Amino acid sequence: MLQLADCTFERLNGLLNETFDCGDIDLNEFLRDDAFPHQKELLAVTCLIRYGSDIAAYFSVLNDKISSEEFPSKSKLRVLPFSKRRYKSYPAVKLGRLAVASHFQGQDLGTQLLDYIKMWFIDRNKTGCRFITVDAYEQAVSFYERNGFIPLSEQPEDNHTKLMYFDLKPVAEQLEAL
Amino acid sequence: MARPIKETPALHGKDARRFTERLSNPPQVSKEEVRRAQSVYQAVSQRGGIQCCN
Repeated sequence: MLQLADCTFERLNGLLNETFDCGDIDLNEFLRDDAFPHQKELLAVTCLIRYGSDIAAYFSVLNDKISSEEFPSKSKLRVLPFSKRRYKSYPAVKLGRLAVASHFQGQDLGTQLLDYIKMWFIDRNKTGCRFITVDAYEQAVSFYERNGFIPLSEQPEDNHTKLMYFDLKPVAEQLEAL
Repeated sequence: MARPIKETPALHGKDARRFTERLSNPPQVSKEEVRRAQSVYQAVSQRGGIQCCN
């Protein structure tokens, strides 16, 4: 099984001149055509995961938030202990894209990558980030569920994707307890 | 051209209530899961993490 620790991580630093095929046209096209323009506009950051010189996987992340209309009034909020307070919105990071190249699939690389990303945002939580969100492709929903993601809405956004989220706080708390 | 990355919509009604309830009762994460994630993260970090991204 390929270990993520055997790979190198690099931030995308230009338009991609190499081939990447994960078996999904949209994910391939995003990396080839859109990832670097997004990065140049400071809209999303893309990281390439290389095994040797091959691109084994990539992911793109951007700032996000989860907002909810269900929140207590300001007066009720003030009397609650800090840990019990609920806010109108919570900072999050969106996993805009995550893909594993076809010839590296089936080796648990996606799960290892998600593990890395979760810890990365806990350890490097520079500005506050409570959740990871993702618009999971229909065929990837079970993968995200296996990795602790929960649907954000009962209704699918469209036929292609399902909005899901992962709460980083229980992981951070468990880490402190270790 | 790939599909755009969609914005996360604000939650309303049932979805909002469910989200708020989950904040009070977040899903439990096992120590094993956290140890596994920590070991992946440490191993990658020891190799320098993400070049230009740390």
